[in-house]
Amino acid sequence: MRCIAVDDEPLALELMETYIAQVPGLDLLTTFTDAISAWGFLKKNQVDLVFLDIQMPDINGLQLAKSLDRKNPMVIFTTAYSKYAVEGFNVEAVDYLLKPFEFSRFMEAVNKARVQKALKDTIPPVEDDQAIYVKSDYQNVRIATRDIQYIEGFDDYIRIHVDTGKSIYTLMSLKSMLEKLPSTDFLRVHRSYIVPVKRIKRINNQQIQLGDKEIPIGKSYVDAVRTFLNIK
Amino acid sequence: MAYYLFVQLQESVRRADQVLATALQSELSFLKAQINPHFLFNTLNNIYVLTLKKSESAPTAVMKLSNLMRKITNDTAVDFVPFEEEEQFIRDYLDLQELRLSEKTKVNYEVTGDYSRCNIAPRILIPFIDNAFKFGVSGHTASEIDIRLRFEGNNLHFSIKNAIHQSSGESMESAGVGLENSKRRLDLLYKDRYELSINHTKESYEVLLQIELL
Repeated sequence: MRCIAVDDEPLALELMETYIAQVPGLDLLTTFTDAISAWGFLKKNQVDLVFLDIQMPDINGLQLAKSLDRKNPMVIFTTAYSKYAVEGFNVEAVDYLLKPFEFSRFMEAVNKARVQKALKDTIPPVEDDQAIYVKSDYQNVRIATRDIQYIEGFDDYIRIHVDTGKSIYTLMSLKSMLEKLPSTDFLRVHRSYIVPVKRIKRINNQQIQLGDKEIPIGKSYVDAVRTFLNIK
Repeated sequence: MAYYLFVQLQESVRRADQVLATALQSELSFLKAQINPHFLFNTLNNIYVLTLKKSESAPTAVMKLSNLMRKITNDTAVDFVPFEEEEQFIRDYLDLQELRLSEKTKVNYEVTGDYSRCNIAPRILIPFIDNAFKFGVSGHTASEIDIRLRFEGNNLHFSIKNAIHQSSGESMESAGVGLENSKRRLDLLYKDRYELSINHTKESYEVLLQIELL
C-alpha cells in the first residue's frame, strides 16, 4: 500500500516514519508538515492511505479529508485530542488513532485499511458514465451511451433507439455519429445500422441479434465485423 | 493577627469560590483553562517518541511536564503565587511547546526588571500564550512569536505578538472562549488594576496587558 503521513509536529512525524518502516508492504512515499502541500501531492499521485493529523495550522486535517475524493485514498486520523472523533468518522475515516499510540494499535488501524483495500479491489468499477450530445428539436440532448439499443440511418437523419423513452431523431450521418461514439463499444454493421458491441447476443453472416431485435449485416461489412469481434 | 489571617483566609476562600463558580463553573473547566488538553496530549506524544528513541532529552521533558502538572494540581485553590514560580511555569511550558515546533517557528521570550517580590494569579497569562501558539504557527511560512514581560515596581507589562496564519472559523471561536476565561479572572482578581488591549489585524495579533500586582 502506498501511503503518506501528514503532521505539523516533527517528532510525531518521526514516529509515523518509524512505525510505517516496520510494516512490510506499507510504502511511505513522503511526509508533509502541512495540509496544503499534502493536498497538492494527492492531486497528482496515486496514494492508497493517508495518515492525517487533525489539528494543524493553516488547513486542518478534516478540511483536507473533506476535500478529497470520497473513496480514494483511505484516511487514518491521528490526533492528540478526541474532540473531533465523531466528525472524523463523518468523513469516512478507516480508523482514528489517539496520540500517543503504541505500535500494536497502529497495526490494528493498518490492518483495517488492508481489509478495506482488498474489498475495494474486488468490487468492479462502476459502469462508465459516458454520454454524447446530439441536436434534436433545436436542443442538445444528452444520451448515455450504455442506453443505446442501436442506431438506424436514413437519407439525411438518424434514429437512435434507446432503453428508456422515445427514440431520438437527429440530422446527421451514421458516419459522423460513429465518430462521436467510443470506438471500442460501437460497430457499424450495415449501411444503415450501428450496434453496441456489448449487446450482441448472436451473430451469423447475415444478421445480428440484439435483445429481441434482428439487425442485418451488410455484405461489405461482414469481414470488418468478424475481425472486430475476433470471429474466425 | 489571628483575626486578620482569618479574614484573609475568608477573603481568599470567597474569591476562590467566585473564580470557580462564576468564572469557570467547575474545577474541570478551570483546569482546562489553564492547560489545553491538546497541548497536554501532544506533549505526551512527543515524550513518548523521545523515550522510544532513547533520547537524552526524554527525562528533562518528563520533569518539565511533571512540574507543570504539579503546579496546576497544587494551585487550584490559590489565588496568587510568587512570580518566580509562575515564571518557571512559563519557561517549562515554552520549552515543551518548543518540542512541538518545526524550525520554521521562532519564539522570543524576554523578562526584564525585578520581580523577586511580586505575586501573580497563577496561569493568568497562559491562555494568551497558548493562543499565540495556536494561531501564530504555520506549516509552510516562517513565523515568530514575541513574548515580553517587563516589571516596573509592582507593575507588570506583558506583551505577546504573533502573525496570524490560521483562518478556520471554528478555531477562532475556541480561541475566544480561552480569552474570555482570562478576562473573567482578570476582572475578579485585578478589578480596576489592569488594562488589556488587543490589536487584532488581518496579519497579526498582539495582546498588551498591564497589571498592578499585589
